[in-house]
Amino acid sequence: MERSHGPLSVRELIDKQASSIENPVVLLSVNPVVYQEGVMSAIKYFSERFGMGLYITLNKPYAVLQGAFEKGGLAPGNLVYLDSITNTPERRTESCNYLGRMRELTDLCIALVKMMSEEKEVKFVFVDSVSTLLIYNDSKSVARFCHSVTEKLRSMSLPAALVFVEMEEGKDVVAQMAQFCDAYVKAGELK
Amino acid sequence: MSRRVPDVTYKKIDRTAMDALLHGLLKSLEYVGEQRQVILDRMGSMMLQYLVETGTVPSPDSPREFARSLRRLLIKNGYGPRIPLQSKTVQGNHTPPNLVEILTPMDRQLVGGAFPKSSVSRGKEKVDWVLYEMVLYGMTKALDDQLGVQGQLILDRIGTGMLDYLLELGAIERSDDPKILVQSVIDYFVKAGYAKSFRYELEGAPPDTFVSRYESARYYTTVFRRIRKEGSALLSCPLCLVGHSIWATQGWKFGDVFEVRIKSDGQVLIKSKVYPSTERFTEKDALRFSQMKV
Repeated sequence: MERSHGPLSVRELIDKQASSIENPVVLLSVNPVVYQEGVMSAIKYFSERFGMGLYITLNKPYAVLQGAFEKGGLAPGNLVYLDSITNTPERRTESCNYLGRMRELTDLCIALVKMMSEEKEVKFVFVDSVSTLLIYNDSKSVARFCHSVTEKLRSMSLPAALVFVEMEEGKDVVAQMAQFCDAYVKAGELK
Repeated sequence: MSRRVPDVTYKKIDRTAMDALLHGLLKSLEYVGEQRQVILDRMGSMMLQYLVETGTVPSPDSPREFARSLRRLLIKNGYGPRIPLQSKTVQGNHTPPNLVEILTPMDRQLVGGAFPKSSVSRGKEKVDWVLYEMVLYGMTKALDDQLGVQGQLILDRIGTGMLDYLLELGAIERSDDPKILVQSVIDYFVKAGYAKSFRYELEGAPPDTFVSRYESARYYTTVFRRIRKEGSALLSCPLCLVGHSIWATQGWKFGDVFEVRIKSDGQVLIKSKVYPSTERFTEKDALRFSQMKV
C-alpha cells in the first residue's frame, strides 16, 4: 500500500492517492525533517478541497500554529482548533477550544464529540499528530484510539488526515493504522 | 522548616557526561538517515546562539572576534584537535563548523560496540558547564522548533543512548534491579558535577506523580528556565532522561512536568505525571466512544 515519494510533493502525493475517494481518511507519515512542511502542504490540500476544518493539535500550541499557517498563506477563518498542548486552564475562544494539557484519550474523545456537535460547518478533521500520543500511551491504546476516531468520522462522512512523524517508536502503530486508512502517504524529502 | 543549603554553582562537569550526551544524541538520530545532518546543523546553530546570548562568545557580527573566542573556548576544553584548520567563520561569510561534530572526537566514539582505552583514561577530565548547557539547549530547542512536543520521544531515546554509553564505559554499574540501577545513575551524575544532590519519591496510590528534589542543579536554573520561558514543554535533564529509560523497562511512561519550584538557594522541586504500563484506551473505552452521539 505504501507509495514511494519519488519526485512528487506531499500535496501531489495526497492528491494522487485520495482525489478519487469521496471522504478519504489519509494517514500522512512524515520524516521529522519535513514534518512542518508536510503538515502545511496537507492542511492546504484539505482546506482547499473540503473547506472548513477542525485541527486537533496535540503537538504545537494553537498560537504557534496559527502564526505559521497565516505566514504560509492559509486563510485564518478556515480552521477551528482543539488544543490539548497549550498550558492553560480549559477555555473556549471563537476559534479554539483549549483543553489544557490533556493526556487522557477518553477525555480527548469527549472533547472531540462535543466540538463536532458545536461546529456543524466543519468539513474535515486534521490530527497533528498521532505520534505525540506515544509519549504518554502504549501503542495498542494509540492504535485503538485512532481506529475509534476514524470510525466515528466515517459515520459522519467526514474526511480526515492523521499525521504521524516517523520515529523508531510506533512503527507497529503505523502498520495498524495503514489498514484502516484509505491512503497511506509517506513523505521523505520535500520537493 | 526546610533546611537551607548553600548554592553551589558548578563550573565544570565530567567529560564522560558530555561524551555520553553526544553519543546518545548521535545514536538517537541514526534512523533518520541522510536527514540527520539537517537536524545536527539546526542544533549546531542553536548551540552557537546560546553561547552568544549568554555572552560566552561575542556576536558573529564581529566574525574574527567570534571565531577567536569560540576557538579559545574549545581549545581550553580539549576540543582543539577537532576544530577545522581553516575555520570558515574567520572569513565571516560561510557557515561555522558544526559544534556537535567538533565535540564528538573520533577517539571517544564507540568502535564496534567497545570503547578505546583512551575514553576510559579521560574519565577524570572536566569540561566547562557552559558547553554542556550549550549542547542541552541546542538539542532541546532544535527539537522543539522542528517537532514540538513529540521531540520528547527523541530526547527519551537520547537517554537510552546515554545509559548504554555509561554502562559500556563502566561509569555506571549494571544491575537488573531498576532501583539499584537508578541509584547508580544518580551517584554518577552527582559525582560528575551535575547537581549537589538528587532525591526522588513517588506520590499517589497507585503512584501517579514522580517528585524530584535537587540541590544546586545548574540545568534547571539555566537551560530549563530558558526553554520554559521560550514556550517549550520539553524536558532534557540528562539525569531524568537516563532515569526515564530505566523506568521505561518497567513499563512506566513520564508525562508533563506540572509543578516546578526553583529557589534562589539552588533547591529545585519538580513534579511530573507518571503513567503505568496498563492500556489507557481499552475496548470498553472504544465502545463507549462509538456510542456517543454527535
